[in-house]
Amino acid sequence: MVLSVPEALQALPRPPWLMPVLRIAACVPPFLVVAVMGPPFDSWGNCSVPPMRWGPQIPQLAVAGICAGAFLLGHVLANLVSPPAPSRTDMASRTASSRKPNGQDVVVLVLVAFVIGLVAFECVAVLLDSPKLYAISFYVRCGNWIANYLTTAIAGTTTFVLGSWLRYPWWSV
Amino acid sequence: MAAIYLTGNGYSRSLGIAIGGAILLPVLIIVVSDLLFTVRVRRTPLTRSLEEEFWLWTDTHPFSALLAAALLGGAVSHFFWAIAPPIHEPEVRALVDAMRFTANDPQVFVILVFLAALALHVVVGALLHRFRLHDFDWKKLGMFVEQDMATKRGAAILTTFVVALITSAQPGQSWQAAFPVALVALVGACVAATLPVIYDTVSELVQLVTGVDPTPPKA
Repeated sequence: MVLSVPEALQALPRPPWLMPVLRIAACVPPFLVVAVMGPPFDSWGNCSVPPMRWGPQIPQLAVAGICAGAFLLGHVLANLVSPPAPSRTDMASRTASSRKPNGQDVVVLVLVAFVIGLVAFECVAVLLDSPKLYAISFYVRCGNWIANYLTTAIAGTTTFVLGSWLRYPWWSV
Repeated sequence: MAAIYLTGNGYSRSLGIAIGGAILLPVLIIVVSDLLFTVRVRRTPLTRSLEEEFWLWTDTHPFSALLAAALLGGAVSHFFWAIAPPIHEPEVRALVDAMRFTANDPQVFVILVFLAALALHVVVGALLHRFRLHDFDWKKLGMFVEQDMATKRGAAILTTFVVALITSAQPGQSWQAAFPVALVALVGACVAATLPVIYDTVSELVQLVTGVDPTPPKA
């Protein structure tokens, strides 16, 4: 019997722990870079004001490509590797049966609140435009200048994890 | 662009490390907690992991899920984007100057009042359902956010702003130049939308305190 590609993908074993383990594995590269190259914490004085838009080793378009590729990889892997999400009716019945927040609800709320806090800090710093308080993006660009490989690794990890979390059912197997 | 090269240039070492940690540590913590959720799947029947949580969110409250995704994506791309132009480049400078001008303008107060009214409506609505109607559901928290924004009222505000931005932009000029005009249109739309939100909030507050729904029954 010849299976179609979707059928073959559905037939593959997809344990629920596999994608979470892959996400943890995606967090390893930044630590590898630090282990190989050492922490860059004492080099902040080497940045310009405003900081350069690119790093000395990796071209800026390559960084953008790595981030976009990592996001897509995470998004596609989440659909391929994770077990199929429950059906809409199943979800609705489970939602109706539970009103209390579970751990996942709390984590999502805390994450969104945290990002809102970062964005608020960024807005205040950008509007003040003061040398006493640089914006987060200044620090990230400075980090990209003094530790190009490490910043690129953190950016790739973050976008991979976000891409896998934002598993929207555009398509699914 | 005049870049100033110097050492001891105002970057705080501790703040830089804190920002790096603030980006990486939450990712690490949540990734590990995601694995723990998955291991405990039999005890948490609603969702297995954060990706399934987001799937559920998009299914039940697509508008607020879209807002959250846009917020996360926008923040990450902004913070990490080494190819984004610095604030000192002319186009971004014009936008920031416009925002700074409006920050000292009474117009911005109108928008803040509108946002405060929205936030108060969410809080009062949640309290009403929790303590008076006893049907508060954490899974429907997004519904309270959507009740004012994911409506025809919200669509009208957004459309007014976008149309004002498009029609005010002059050929050959950057769109940032049209921002102040579009902001005036946004203020007008917010004024029109604030009173109904306040009316709904007061009605719900009365019902929360007295237990009586003051709104007339629908025919």
